[in-house]
Amino acid sequence: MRATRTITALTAAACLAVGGMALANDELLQLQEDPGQWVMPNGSYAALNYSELDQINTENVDQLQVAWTFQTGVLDSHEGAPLVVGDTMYLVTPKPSVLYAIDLNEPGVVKWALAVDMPELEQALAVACCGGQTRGVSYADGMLYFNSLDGQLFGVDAETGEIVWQKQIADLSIGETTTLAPLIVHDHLITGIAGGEYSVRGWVAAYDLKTGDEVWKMYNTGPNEEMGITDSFAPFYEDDKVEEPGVSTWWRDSWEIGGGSVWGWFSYDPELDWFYYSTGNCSPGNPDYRRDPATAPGYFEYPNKYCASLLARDATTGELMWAYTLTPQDPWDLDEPGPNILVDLEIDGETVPALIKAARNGFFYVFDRQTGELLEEPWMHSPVTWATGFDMETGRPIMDPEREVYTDVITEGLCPLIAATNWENQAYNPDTGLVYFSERNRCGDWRAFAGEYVPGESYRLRETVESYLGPDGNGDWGNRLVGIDPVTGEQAWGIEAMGSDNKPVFTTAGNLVFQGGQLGEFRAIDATTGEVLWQFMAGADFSNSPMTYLGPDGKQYVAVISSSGPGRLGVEVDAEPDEEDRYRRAGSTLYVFTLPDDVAGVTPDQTATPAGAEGAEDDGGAGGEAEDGGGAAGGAAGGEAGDDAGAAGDDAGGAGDDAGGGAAGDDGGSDGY
Amino acid sequence: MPRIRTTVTLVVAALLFLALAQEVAAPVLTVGEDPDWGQYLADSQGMSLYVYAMDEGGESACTSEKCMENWPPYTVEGDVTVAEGVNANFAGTYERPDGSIQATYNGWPLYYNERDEEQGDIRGQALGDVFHLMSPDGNAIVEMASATESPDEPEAEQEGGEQAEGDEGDAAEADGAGEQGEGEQGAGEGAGEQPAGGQQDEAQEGGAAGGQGEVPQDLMDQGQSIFSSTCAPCHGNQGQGLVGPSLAGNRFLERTDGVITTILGGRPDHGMPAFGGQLDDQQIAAVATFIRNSWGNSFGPVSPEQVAERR
Repeated sequence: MRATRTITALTAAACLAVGGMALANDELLQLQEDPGQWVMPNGSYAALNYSELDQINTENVDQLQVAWTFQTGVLDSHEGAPLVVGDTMYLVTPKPSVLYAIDLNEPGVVKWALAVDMPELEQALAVACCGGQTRGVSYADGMLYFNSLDGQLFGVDAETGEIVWQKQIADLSIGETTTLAPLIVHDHLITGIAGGEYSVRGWVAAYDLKTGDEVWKMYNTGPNEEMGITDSFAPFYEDDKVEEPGVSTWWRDSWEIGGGSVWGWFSYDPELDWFYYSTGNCSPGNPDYRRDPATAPGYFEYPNKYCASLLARDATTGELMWAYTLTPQDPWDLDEPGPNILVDLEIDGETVPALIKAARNGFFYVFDRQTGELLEEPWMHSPVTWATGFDMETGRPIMDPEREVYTDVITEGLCPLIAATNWENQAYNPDTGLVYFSERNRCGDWRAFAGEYVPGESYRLRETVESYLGPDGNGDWGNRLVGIDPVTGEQAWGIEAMGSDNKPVFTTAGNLVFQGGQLGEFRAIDATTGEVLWQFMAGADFSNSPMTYLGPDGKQYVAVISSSGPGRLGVEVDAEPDEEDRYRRAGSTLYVFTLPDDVAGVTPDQTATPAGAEGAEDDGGAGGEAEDGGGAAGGAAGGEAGDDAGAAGDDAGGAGDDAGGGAAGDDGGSDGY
Repeated sequence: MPRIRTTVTLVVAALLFLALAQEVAAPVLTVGEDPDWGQYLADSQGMSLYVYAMDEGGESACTSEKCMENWPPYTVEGDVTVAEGVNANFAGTYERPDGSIQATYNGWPLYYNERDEEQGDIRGQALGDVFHLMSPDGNAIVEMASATESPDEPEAEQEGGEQAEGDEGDAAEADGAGEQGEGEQGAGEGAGEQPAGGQQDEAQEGGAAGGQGEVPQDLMDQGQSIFSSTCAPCHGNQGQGLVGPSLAGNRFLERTDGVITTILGGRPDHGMPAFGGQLDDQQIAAVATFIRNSWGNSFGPVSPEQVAERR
């Protein structure tokens, strides 16, 4: 049976007290080991989106109930999960951004709120794709850091909510906006820009935590010195060992407006001191502007490095360590904002430091994160038609000539259409050895067209002509939530998603997967079998990762924000009672769930005991990392058990084959941001 | 050579042409019209024809298998005749390295675009800034016709019969006139009338009127001199592009950084040498200023200090 933990916030308080003495990420390295807190997006540098807490588990999750709620007051898509540091929860809303500190001692009570001034918001909205979002706040050393959509970066005192520094880092006039949650390493934070629809030239930059001063700035395309390519650059494949890859793989000067934005998640390996991220689509969407028309398509002559690519950089200097192009020349708007999960996997009897990626382009990748080598032949986690397989000698996908894109020519049967996965958080559970993500199995017809570049104006030059489920529009190709063994590639289970969007996924040591759905349902799912164990109807959409923490009372809480964007309202009031979206309305509510005291095994006065603090340290020692090889073994066993249950889930989850999956939703709402 | 064999060869060749170009006997150049790009050359079926900026001196540079697949040469048999509106003096032929005969216009070999399917398709237009439709007056069409719709420039397309090098200026002038029109509305500096078919030199004043800052005349003069001796062999006397890319109407020239670093360091991967060692800051500033403010470009001046910063 699972031991009930009585971890308290004391550990966190102790860490906070000494935090100023060490590097900011030393503190975070410690804090991320404490499962009672949730101190960074995805919960850990490895981006597992996994919590060791198991007070809430498969045995008792059906008794989960609402503890308290909080209205954020901003009617828009909330894409950043809350943080919990010590006894305070922090969350940042989308524009107009409000940063809240909520006192967990008096649940729902606001300690302070900071509504930041966004004087250029109108201009930002004009250039922000797809609603324009904010994917969360980061914490370090008594400070909070976040980007607002209009390209501002804020350093805020976590205790008082006062702005310590702020600066404008993005150039709205050329379509740059800021949507991601910064990564904190050493004494700087790392962030980047969105704007692939405006043909920005993507970059990442580091800023000093204390002052906001720029430490370094590296572009994802262009000359070596501007990309941080030095003698340290050691890519694995020959395609990347070329002179000036950021220039020579582009037609003429097209790299100058070549996209490769940065708007998703970072992960970080403290031992290597490298961070990982993957870049947005190549711009413009029409590849005829980025390759030699004489030799088109010339995928490997003009692969357009490094948009739609995976990059590993030194976290201290920003230098590029290795890079790999996921979708050569990216003619299909295949941004890769999704997480790059760092796990140590047991492959062929050897433990290897891996990076796993269920990519937006439909392939599942397992890299050696030290070298950039593909450890396994990438497989299709969703229907893929742009490539037929891989040449493992060169690391190149084998491109399908049927899917080539030319100006004003319709490309038919393209899978995935825009995104098999997207920015939404994925989750890896070391106990089951499975990675969980929602996949979108949409395909379609595609057209690129000609256009003129005007700075700050949309420069996509491509459109979806038609959109359908699966490669031929037939069959069971609804969206699915899947649990996949990254070593074997086997799907342990898959259940139909209620709706057409990808949704963030979160997992815990309680053998649970949590996910909110498009119709307003929030579900707890058996991480081994895929069985839906509990469901709560929240009344609005979800685009927010659940998270968990231990309250000051020693109880485990699960929190998630239910929200819908302005374009995703509920059904009409007089809709038929069986209308799919009938639960859903516009609204933005933080829900915090917990177990009844007797089920949780705690009493309300059992708070903040020294014993609890010790417990926290012990548990922290076990680590939130996925490094123990036992996880993979467990995953294999779980995989067998899951097959049957997964099939059952298919039948049960039949509602909503494609709820709300109209062309607008697919080409607009679900696209790169 | 025995006569019978020749006949067989011809038949085979004819069949080949039939398959490739649908243009066996009496090839005819016709005129198509696009609302954006204006009048352009087409074959007798109305299929659009293109010229390739890399075809320096009339030699086809499109000889790779892939290029000929993407851009099938417009190969012909017999004399090329022309429909009304096409200048017969420009029609000619070129013997390709494989012995086939390709139609030319004003010395430029003509190509189809593989992606064009029917009359009126111009899917190859301006691809890579190297393949362009051909106007009946013998110019590659690099600027949209809409850019010539300024009331200041009613007769933009009237010129013809000059060498290709001299003609790209037409479109550039038209562009300059358009911008000048804006300048007159806005700043009202009265930077000078743009005469129909005027000199490309006027464009620099159009640039100043366009609100990009004063362009010093001495820099322009110095730049023109350097350009003529150093850059024109590849980019063309009128910046229209030869083996090097077209500079007239090239939007990348707007990026000061890009212009300077390109001149300083060259584009070794695309055949452009570095001039950082050969030209000093003043000279690079001059030539950068010249190309950014000629032939309808109006991107403002570049200073020697800006060059020095990027060395």
